[in-house]
Formats: sequence, C-alpha cells, structure tokens
Amino acid sequence: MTRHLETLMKTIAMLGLALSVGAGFSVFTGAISHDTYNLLMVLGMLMWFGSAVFWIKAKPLGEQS
Amino acid sequence: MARECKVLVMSNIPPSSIVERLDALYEYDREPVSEDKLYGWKTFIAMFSSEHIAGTEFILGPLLVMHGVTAFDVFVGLAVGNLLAVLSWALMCAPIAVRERLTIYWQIRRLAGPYLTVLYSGLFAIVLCLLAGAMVNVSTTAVANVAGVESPNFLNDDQIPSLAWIAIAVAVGVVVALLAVLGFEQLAHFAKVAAPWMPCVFLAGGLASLASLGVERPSDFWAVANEKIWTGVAQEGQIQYGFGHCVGLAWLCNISQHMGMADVTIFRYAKKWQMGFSSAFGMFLGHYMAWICSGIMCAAFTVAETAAGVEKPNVNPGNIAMFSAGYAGLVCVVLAGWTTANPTLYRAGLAFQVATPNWRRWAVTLFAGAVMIVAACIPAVNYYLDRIVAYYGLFFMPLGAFIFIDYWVFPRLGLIPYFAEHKRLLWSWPAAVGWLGSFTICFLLYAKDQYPMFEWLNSVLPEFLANYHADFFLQVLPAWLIAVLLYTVCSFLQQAGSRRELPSGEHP
Repeated sequence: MTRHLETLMKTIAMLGLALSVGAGFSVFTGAISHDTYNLLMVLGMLMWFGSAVFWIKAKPLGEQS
Repeated sequence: MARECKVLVMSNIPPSSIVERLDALYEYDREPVSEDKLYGWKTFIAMFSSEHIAGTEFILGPLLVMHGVTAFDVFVGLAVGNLLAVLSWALMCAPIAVRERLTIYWQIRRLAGPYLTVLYSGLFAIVLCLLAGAMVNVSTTAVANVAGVESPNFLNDDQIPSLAWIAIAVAVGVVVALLAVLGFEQLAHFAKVAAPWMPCVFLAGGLASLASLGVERPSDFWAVANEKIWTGVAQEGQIQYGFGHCVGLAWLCNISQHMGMADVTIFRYAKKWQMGFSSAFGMFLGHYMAWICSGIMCAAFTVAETAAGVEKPNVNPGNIAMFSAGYAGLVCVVLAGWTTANPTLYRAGLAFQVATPNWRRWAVTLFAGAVMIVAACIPAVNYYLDRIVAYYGLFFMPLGAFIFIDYWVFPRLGLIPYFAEHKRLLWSWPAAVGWLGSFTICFLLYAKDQYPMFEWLNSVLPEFLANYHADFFLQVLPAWLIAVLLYTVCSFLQQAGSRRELPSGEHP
C-alpha cells in the first residue's frame, strides 16, 4: 500500500470513529432522530472496518523485527 | 551473564510425564526476554486499551445497576477500584516482570514446584472455559436477537434456554472452538482492528440512552443518574451492593493479572517498570467508561420496557445493545464476545493439554470448547458473573502474592527465595498452605453468613470473627495478608528444618 493510500485509509477510519461518537452526541442533543443515529452508527462501523483492516498490523509480542 | 544465571535449571527433578509435558509446552519461553525484544509505551497502551473491552463489560455494568448501587458508588467507587488495580499493575507486577523477564508459569514453577504449577494450570483452564462460555453467551444474545429467538431471562426463572437458543449458542461456540483449533493469529489481528471502535460504540450507546432517560442537558445528568439508573435500590432477588462492592469489583476482576502476577508474562517485554501504568488505559476505558455506559444502556432499556408494560424486562447484552445502538451495537456485542472468547479458549486448551496424555492439541481445544459451550448455555453463569470473577480472582491471587514476597521480602528476612527451585522440590508445602489456606479462610468467613450449612462456624469462632461480616468483594487485602503470612511462617519452618539437615558450615 502506498503512503498516500495509507493516509487516506487512516483518515476514513478516524472519520468513522468520529461519526460513531458524533452520532451519539447528536441524538443526545436532539439534533437527529434515533433512527438516523442507528443508520450513522452502521455507516461509522463500515467506514472503520473497511479501512482500518488495511493499516492496523498484527504484531504479537516477541515477534518484532 | 546475569541473564544466563536466570535460566532455570530443573533437570534433576525426577521424571514425571505430566510435569515434562507442561514444561515442554512452555519450553520456548523458558529463558528471560532479551534486550532486543523490548517494547515501549505505545505497545502496552494499545494492548491494554484493546484487551479490556470484552463481551463481559455488557454484563458487569448492568449487574451494578441491578444490585442497586448509587451514582456516587459507581463514579467514585469504580474510580478508586480501578486506580488500585492500576497501582497493583505498576507497583507490584511490572517491577518484578522487568527484573526477572520470565512468564508467570516459570515464576510459579520456581517457588511452588512443578506439581502445584500443574494444579494451578488445570484449575485455571476450567475457569477460563467458564469465562469463555460467558463471552459466547454474550455473542449468542446478539445473534439470537437478529434471528428473532428470545434469550433466556434468568430473572424470570429461565434456568435453561430454549432449544433454538441452545442451537445458536452451539453454532457460535463451534465457530469459536474451530478458530481456536486452527490458530488465532488472523482473529487476533481482527480483534486488534475492532478494539478502537468498540469503546466508541459504548460511548455513543450511553449518550443515546441518556436522551431516552430524559437527560436534555448535562446539568440534568446527576439527578437522572440517581433517580433512574443507579437508584440505590437493588432489584427484586438481588443482593444490595454499595461503594465497597464497586471498589472491590473493579480491583478484583483482574486481580489474577496484577496482584496474581499473571501479567508478568506481558510486562517482561517492557523497557521500564513504569509501563505498568499503561494499564490505566484498559481500566478506565473498559472497566470505567464501558461499565458506566453499559449501566446507562441497561437502565434505559429497563425503563422503556417497563413503560411498555413488560413486568420483568429481559436485560441481556443483545437486547440492550440493539436498543441503544441498533445493528452496530449488535455487531459490537458479537465481536466483544467473540474476539475475547477465542484467545481465552486457546489458553484453556493449552492448560488442559497437560492433563490429557497423548491427546492432540486440536482434540484438547475441542474438549475445552465443549465445556465452554455447556457453560454458555447456563444463564446462571452470566447472572452470577461478578461472583464468579470474585471467586476466581481470590483463588488465583495468592500464588502471585508469593512471587512478590519471594522477590522483595524473603532476602530481607534471611530466607532463601524460590526455595522449591533451589532444593529441586516437586512441590512447596508452604505455598500449598498459603494458597489453599488463604482461600479457605476467606471463603469460610464469607460462607458463615451466606450459607446455612456454615452457620455453625459463628458459634465456634472468636467473637470478633463471628461479628465480622465479610463480603467476597471486600476480601482482597485480608486474602493477600493471610496468604503471605501463612506462606512466610511456613517458609521459616521449612527452611529452618532444611538448615538443620545440612552438615555444619554448609549454607543452602
């Protein structure tokens, strides 16, 4: 994966997390309905998993290079 | 040179197949970790942040609500308990880990001898199966929710789940067991990916639930928290909990890892002992924020169900997550249970392997998986999960306490540390007395007020003990003190006897 693509993936992932928490805040303040909140939560989840899986590396203890 | 001296020499121990098998399993980490394999803060912060958001957080937060704690108990009690847990990691576990750089298995082996280590491993495997079962149960509630199958409601006397629910639990359990058999490297990667997202779901679910409880602005929160969430009144059939229980549960629930020293296995890779403080990220995300948020979700679900005319709402992880965060919440429940059940089951299989001669790893892991599935199908396991966690913590903590005492106190008392290793003993009777004695005393002090068959103890105990009404959650310090006192006194006796046996002038 190129550096630019990795940056893009990280950005999408962080936006996914922000969207998830932001949706919670928004329904708390009454800015959005509960149905919209549920939809945004799913969207945030897809954004996170769809991008984080490419740049978060598995590196068990004791196996560092 | 110093490292070479630490390499364990036990070759003169008489042959014993079970001991040899156990040693063989842990052979690869028999030597201390070398300097070039040490890690910095970032690794430990990430590890603790990800490992302490598990499926069981969806159970323990609601249990505090149902046991009638107040908002003060939760916010201050959990903060104190988690702080004590972090200090235990940082000041007790990590300093020894970075000095010795050995796994818990070899640490216990050195002071307790191989037989007690085998016993420790076997019992630990059973507890791990129960915990993995609780996690599979959590995941199953979410899958059952999607499938339209009602999860058992223990409050409604559902002692056994429906056949359809059992079928789902078996399917989830089989997937977990198969993945554990195949090796969990890929799943470990996926668990690492899921970890940062799960706290966000807890936080969002908590915030969304506050709205449905009538909190319109932050200033409303404390009043609603005391009136509708942590009301101070236990639900019907539940024991009343208070401040001490919150402190005790937060401190106890990982006690086998910190005061019980199991995490020396992790911190042996740390560059500095101060990295023990990275446990704060796990505790205050997983056992503070997540417990508070899951408690809020539980209360919101209960209030909504009661308003809809349901007499005994079925509070389970699947229902509260669906109510609070929709399908994303359900996915979170499945992943929180699944990703933690898998490594737990893998470790249980590893520990069971020593007691099953000539069984292959896959067969042992499947056997552990079968035990896990049975546990997952018993609703009482999750209903009493806080008690199970307390029992298991207090049971396994003493051996870790002995590591601490052997390392720091014995040399100052003129005692020989790691005496079992030094004398090549198959078992250390001071460790056995301290370990089992501490748990037995603490259990009996609790049982005399809880179970009719132990009430007679009140008539034979001294008045101050008969008047002492112990709760399991409040037994951390007494258990630790009793364990180290018994172990130290017995070690004095053992080593004094050993000195007498030596020819004059020779020191052991």
